[in-house]
Amino acid sequence: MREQINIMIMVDSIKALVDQSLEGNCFMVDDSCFFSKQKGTLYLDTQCIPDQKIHWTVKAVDVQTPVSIKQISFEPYQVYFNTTHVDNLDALVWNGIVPYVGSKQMTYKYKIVLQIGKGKKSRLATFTPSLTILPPY
Amino acid sequence: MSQQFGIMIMIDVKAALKTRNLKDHVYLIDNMKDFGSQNEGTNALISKVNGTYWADGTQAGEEVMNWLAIDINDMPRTVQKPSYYTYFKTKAIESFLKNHLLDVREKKNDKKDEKTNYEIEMTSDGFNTMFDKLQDIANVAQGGLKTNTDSTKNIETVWPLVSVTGEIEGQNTTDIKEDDYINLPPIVTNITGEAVDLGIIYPAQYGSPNFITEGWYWCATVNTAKAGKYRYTAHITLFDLVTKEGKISWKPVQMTFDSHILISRDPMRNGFTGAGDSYLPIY
Repeated sequence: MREQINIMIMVDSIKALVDQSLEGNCFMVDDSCFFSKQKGTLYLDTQCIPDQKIHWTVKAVDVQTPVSIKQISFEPYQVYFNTTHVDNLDALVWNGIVPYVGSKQMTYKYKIVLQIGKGKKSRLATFTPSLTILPPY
Repeated sequence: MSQQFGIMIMIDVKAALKTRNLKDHVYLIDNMKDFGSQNEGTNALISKVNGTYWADGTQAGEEVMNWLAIDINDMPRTVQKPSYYTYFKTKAIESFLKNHLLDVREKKNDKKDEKTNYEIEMTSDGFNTMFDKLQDIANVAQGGLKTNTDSTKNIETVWPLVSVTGEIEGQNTTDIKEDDYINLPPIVTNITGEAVDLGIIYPAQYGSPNFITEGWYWCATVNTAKAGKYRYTAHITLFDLVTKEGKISWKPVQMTFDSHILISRDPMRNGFTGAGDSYLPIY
């Protein structure tokens, strides 16, 4: 088992809702040992190798405001488990193991949907972060 | 949502004091309406707590509740920092000692033979005067309300009486018009009841920059391992105006009301698969 990578998403919930955008209100960091790029922005490019476990968590900068991960999906954004009817988003663990994708370095963009509170305008998405899978040693 | 819950306890303090009935004059609001809280804005609030657990049964998320009491009749209060008053107190005592005690010593050393008029004589009477003055400083700096569920002693506060329009009415009773004053703010003094006895919630007081309650407020962590509806009792101290010999003081009146929390719990599962852990869906 290789070392787990934790990706933490920190959100300024109130400003994100007011702006109706995660741009500038969302900060992503990870603890990858392969020198990830663009840490602290929405454009985080996590460097990882096959067989590593990746775990996404979200935290609101103001602890009294709500935020949960509604969906994470990779290009072409196909969803295998529909979370539309999951009421308690706290009960979802967002982790998975990096698969083997060949001998070349590959970058996969992914989409994150965050749910901030409830209602029509409560879901905000970003397509900017990515995962770069380095060739296995 | 792993956020903290706030429960605002809005109290019609004057009505509650007149009828000696808190239950019918309390309005509860929390921030979990969209996640299942019921009866918002009434005295029958049921706060929803959405708990989670791992496959082995252990609790997965932390849930924290906070209670804050406000008087409907009150004016909006700004959050003030007690540290300022502590600082003020320390500085006041320091400057008093410097100006009086140290001065006296210096004067004595410098001018041994001269007869000088000290502000405070270094006699037993002088020390008593000094003690009284220090006591005054301590009282002035004492801004917060010290109270608990057993308080019966009337409180004389340095805060002046304020009318509902925000005008200061002073410290005596002559200018008070009927009901045209703001009571001291209500204070949560304890959380007890079924939920506490059964180990569902673990209440405690925490420090905060809230000046009115001397920086303390009631908070509880929730044990979400036991799903169900549980009752808890909030103990509130209200302050009734007492006028005696032209002076005002506040009589603490202990009252309680009941409220409920509803705990549900869901098993933790993987967001990608809806079941156990697997490879990331990358192809």
